[in-house]
Amino acid sequence: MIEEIIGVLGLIFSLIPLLLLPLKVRAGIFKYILLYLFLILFYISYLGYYFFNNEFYLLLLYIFEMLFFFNMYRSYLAKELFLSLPLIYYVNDLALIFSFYFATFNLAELLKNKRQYKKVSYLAIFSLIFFDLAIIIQLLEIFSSQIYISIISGSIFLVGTLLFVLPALRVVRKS
Amino acid sequence: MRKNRSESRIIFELLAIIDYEQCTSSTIIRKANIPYNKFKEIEEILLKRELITKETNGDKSYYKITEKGKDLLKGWRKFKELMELYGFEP
Repeated sequence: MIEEIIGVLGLIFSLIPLLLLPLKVRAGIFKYILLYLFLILFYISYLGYYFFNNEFYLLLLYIFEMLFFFNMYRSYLAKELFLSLPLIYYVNDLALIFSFYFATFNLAELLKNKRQYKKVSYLAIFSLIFFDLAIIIQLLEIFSSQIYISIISGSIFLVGTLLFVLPALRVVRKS
Repeated sequence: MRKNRSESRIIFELLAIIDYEQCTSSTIIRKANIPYNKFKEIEEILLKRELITKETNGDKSYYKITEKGKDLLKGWRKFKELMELYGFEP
């Protein structure tokens, strides 16, 4: 039951920016939608896994989780994605290792930008710290007890999601 | 090293300059730091989409932003602010 609540809340949180802040700028709309789209697809797969208990949804969950972190700095990480795709085909869990790599890369980039006095939000930085932590717990649980997604890692990921969408809500509030 | 600006970013920088004050082509070129042929290319797009208007006074042409242009610029600023919060350059 708690897993389903986490999934529904995550889906609602990740849908909020797209529903509340419809951008009129065609030049940036694609980038904007992609920023939240993979997160939405991740939570749909999460719910699918719990409702239907099907391994296919778990694979989708891993892939969308990885693509969510990859998408942020895709121009820098394109080579890594091409390396990861054939490997994931054989060992699905490797998607999590790549998720961790992409998330850590994003976190390092954000911290670098923040140091250069750019307007990076602390909420975005903390969200990535929570995401990273959730992935580490997810990995440890797989290695130690073959639990693919637990309440602990799911809840931490949910906190990360909430922190991730808050900067968008700040922009909504201002406009 | 300064990164190359995207086409859309140059367009919105140009719109922002025109929004700030009614100005001539030379002022826009200087402030936006773009070559003349690029300016003419963008000017054509902006005039065609009715985002700016061009008024000729004597031998000088002045550019002015339209309401449609102001609306678009507002949307772009919102998008830019959001992207910067996530550490991206629009």
